[in-house]
Amino acid sequence: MEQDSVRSLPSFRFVPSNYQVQYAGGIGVVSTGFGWDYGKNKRWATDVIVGYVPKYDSERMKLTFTLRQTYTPWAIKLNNNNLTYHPLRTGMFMSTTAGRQFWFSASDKYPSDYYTFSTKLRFNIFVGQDVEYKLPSEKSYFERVRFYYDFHTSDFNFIARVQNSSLRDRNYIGIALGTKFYIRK
Amino acid sequence: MFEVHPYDGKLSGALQVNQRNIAQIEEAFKGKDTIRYAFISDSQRWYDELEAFVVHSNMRDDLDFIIHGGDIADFGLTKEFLWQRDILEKSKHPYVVVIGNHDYLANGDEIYKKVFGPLNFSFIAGHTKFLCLNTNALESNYSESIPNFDFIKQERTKDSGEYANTVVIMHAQPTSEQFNNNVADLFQYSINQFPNLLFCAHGHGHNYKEVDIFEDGIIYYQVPNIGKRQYILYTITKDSYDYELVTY
Repeated sequence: MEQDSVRSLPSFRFVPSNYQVQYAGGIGVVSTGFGWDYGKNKRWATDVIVGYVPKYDSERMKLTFTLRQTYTPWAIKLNNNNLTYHPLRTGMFMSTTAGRQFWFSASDKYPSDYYTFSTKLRFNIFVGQDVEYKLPSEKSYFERVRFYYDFHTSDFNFIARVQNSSLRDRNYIGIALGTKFYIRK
Repeated sequence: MFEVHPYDGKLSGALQVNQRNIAQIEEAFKGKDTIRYAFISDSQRWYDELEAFVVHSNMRDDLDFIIHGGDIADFGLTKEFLWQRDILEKSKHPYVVVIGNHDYLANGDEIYKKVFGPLNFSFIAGHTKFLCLNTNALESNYSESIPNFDFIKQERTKDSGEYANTVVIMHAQPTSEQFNNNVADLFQYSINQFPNLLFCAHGHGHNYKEVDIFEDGIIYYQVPNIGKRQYILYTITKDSYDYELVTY
C-alpha cells in the first residue's frame, strides 16, 4: 500500500539538470556547481556555485557561494541539431564570501549608517553567449555540453565607473569562461 | 580582463610605494630650508578628481611632494588600491599615502601594507620630520595598538639632531569616532615631546577645518576630500610654516 502511494507522487526530481565549472567571473579562480534549466524552451536557469579564491598577495584564501539566475531567450539550431547557439545569455548573480573579514552589514560598534554597504554580499550583472554541443553517444551520462562566456560587473565596480569617466579604460568589466555538462534524462 | 574576486588581493605594478618615494624625498630635499607640499585626502571613488589633481600638481614646479591623508579605497577592494595608485603614479612629485578607515575594510589593510607599506611611518624632508600615524582605532577591535605608542616612542629617539621641526599626519583626528579618545591626551602629550611640533593635519571629515583641539596652540587642519577639488598647500620654513587652501 505504502509503495503504491509513493509511486503515485508526481515525478518531480530534485536532481539538477547540469553540473558546471567556471574560470574567473568575480567568484573565484575556479568555481563549480550545479543548476536547473526550466521554463518554456528551458530559457531560464538557476545555478548554485562554490568558488575558490587563492590567497595571492593577501593573507588567506577565500571561498564564495553564488546563486545565479540566467535568461537565454533565443536558440539557433545548427549542423543537424548537434549544435545550438544561444546568441544571448544574461542575468544576475549574488555572491557571498566566507570569512570574518567580510560582513553583511556593519557591526554595532559603528555609529548608525557609518558603512551603508556590505563587503560580504555582491550583486553582479552579466551578459554573454554560449554554444551547446550534443554528444554523439546515446548512452553517456552527460547528453550535452555547453560552453559559455560572460562579461560581468559588480555593483561596486559599476557605481565607480558611472561616477568616473576616467575609469573608462580600466578593467571594471571582467570575463568569465565556463562549461555546463547536462545530464541525460 | 579576468577578475577572480573583488577582494582577491591579486596585485600588479609598483608595491611598497611609500618607501620608494620616501627615499626619493629624503634624498632630494636633504637640508633644504624651505619645503612645500600638497596635502590631499579621501579620494575614495573620486577617481576623476584625483586625476585632475595630478594633472594640476604636475603643472606646479613649486611643489616638493604630496601627502595623501588616507581613504584611498572606499569598499576596501583590491582594485581600488591599484586604480588609485596608478593615478598617483602619474604624478611627477613623490607622494606618500597614510591609511584611512575605509582602507581597512574587508582585507584592505593587507592590501595597503603591500601596495603602500607599514601602517605607521615617518620621513624627513628638509629640516622637518613627518610622523605619519595610523589612527583608525575603531577598525581594529583593539587587536592592534592604535595609535601605536611604541612606534611614537621609537621615533622620538630616532634621527635625533637630524631635524628641527615635526609635523604629524593622520587620517582621523582625536575627538573623531575613529580615534581611541581614551588616550587622546596621552597622544597629544607624546607628539608634543617631538622637536618644535608645528601642527597636525588629517582628513576623514571631508570639509575644511582648523581646530586647536587640545587648546595648546597645536592646530589640527582637516583637508576636504578630493571630491571638493581642494588641497592644502603647506610651506615650511626653517622654524615655522604657512598654509593655503587651494581650489583647482
